[in-house]
Amino acid sequence: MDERREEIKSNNKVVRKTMNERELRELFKEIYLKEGVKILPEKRLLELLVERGFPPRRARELYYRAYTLRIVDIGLDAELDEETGEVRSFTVVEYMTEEDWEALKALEEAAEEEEELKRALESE
Amino acid sequence: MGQYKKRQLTLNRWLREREREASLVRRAEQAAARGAPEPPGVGKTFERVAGPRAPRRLYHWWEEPDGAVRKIRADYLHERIRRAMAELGVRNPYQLAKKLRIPETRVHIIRDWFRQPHAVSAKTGVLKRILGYLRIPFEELEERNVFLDRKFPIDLFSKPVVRLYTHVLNEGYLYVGKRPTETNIRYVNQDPTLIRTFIDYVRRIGGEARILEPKKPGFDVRTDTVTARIIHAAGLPYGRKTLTNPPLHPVVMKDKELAKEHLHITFLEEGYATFSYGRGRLQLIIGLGRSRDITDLLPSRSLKQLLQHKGEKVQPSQFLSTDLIRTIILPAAPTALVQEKAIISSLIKSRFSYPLQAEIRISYLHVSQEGRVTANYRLAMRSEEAIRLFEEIVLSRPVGAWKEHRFREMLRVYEEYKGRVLSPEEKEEARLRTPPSRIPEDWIISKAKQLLGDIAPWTRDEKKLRVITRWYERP
Repeated sequence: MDERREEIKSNNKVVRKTMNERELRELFKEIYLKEGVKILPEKRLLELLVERGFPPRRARELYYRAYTLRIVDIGLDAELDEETGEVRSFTVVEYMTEEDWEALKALEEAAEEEEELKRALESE
Repeated sequence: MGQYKKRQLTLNRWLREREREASLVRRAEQAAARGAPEPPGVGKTFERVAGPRAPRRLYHWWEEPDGAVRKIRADYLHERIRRAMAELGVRNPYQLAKKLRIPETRVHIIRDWFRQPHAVSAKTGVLKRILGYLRIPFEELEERNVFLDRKFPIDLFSKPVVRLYTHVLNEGYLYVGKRPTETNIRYVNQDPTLIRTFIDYVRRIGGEARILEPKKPGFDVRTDTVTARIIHAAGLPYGRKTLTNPPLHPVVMKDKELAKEHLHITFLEEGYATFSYGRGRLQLIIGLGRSRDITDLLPSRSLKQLLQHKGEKVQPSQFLSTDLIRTIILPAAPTALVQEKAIISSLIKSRFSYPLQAEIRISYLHVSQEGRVTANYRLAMRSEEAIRLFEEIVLSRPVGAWKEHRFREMLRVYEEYKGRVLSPEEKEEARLRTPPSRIPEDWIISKAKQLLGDIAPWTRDEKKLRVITRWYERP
């Protein structure tokens, strides 16, 4: 069981200690490093969290919280069946560093200028 | 009415509908066995019963709307009608009407056709009706190549159609008016080379295009009506793409060369390239973006909150729950972008035996003044393999677009500085050596004069061209 999953008893009630942001980042970093990838299918990420001892519901909560805290980002991946030409899409989760957010910000800025022109072309 | 009787009547009506469908399918099968055109209405029935059909390869003249006018070689049509009437044992339209027991007005048009000496102008619906009465197979007109205004059938899987489809999917608009004959393609772009490429492809499928007098910050092109219907027949729906969510041309999904051509054009029309720094190291990022209207997918509470931000761009996580984002908004990513992601992954895998580490993200939501919410989705790539793939795709067969020039220069800078921490001076030099994303005014003017002068004489007038470039003067 992951040592960060702490449950303490108070007045005979189970109270969950909330993991702080640094601990949460550590947890996700470890998972991704161990898997040797930067992007994991959502299903696999949840499985890995459960493997670390978190109940499925708690695993999902941690994943959602990591997304809110910008530790991970949710995306859509797609695979092509070259014979049929059909595409299968599925949700993936990427572990995000400051550098990754910077790169995305740079792309947003580049896109913004193009979109401004597109809007002008559509509206005028 | 008793409940039992009502149910019986409903059942009878349902049975009658199924019988009608079955008869339609039987007629379609018989027609297919004869190699004749499909009976009208059968397509929709098939799709309702068995789901969407495989995309068809040919677009025939009889698939044009009834009101579409065709020009036919008069010598062929006159002679063929006379022969057909003789085979039926009649000598004129009056006798034909009598023999077929139809009002003479239904075939009276034949007399008008005989009065047209060189080319007969006929509406598609009327031509189909007369050929049907005379038992002249529709395909014969295509086999004899008798149409003077357009060559039929049109191969919807041909390279020019696939290329045009991509252009329209990216920067075009497929318009249909109140009548099915009122169609055209609008294509607007600021780069004269892309305008020229687009018009060349319209001409290659026998169509016409004209550039309107300048009013916008871009060149505004309109095509003829048939070209628009061809692109529609190839699978692109009419109307706003954020609402119709169009897919890529089906051939692009199976043919690697056409897939690369699609990505080339898409990079020039919907793509971006930019530099970023990761721990002081230069990164080249390539992005593709598309949008989709998600208004109807949003719960009323979230929509209400979003509508308080009309005219603004907002982050989805501010207004929507994580659950809603991952289960509803993300899977609603534009089909074309999802397919493009799949194609890029497949190309990278086969070329470098390495998976593409990138995914489609929701970039932002835009709330329009009309109260529609559009989600913008983006695919950002910065792996070495993705950069090499796009270098190959974009620069191996350039069309001369500004974005190609910019990308080439950016690759040079990237090659020189990649893999090490850059000093502030080097960063500044990299910035200065990167061509601007806005196309320079002089470049637009010189390219327009060089490439568009023969299509639109006004493009030789620098004053008029400055109407397009005046957009740069905005604050």
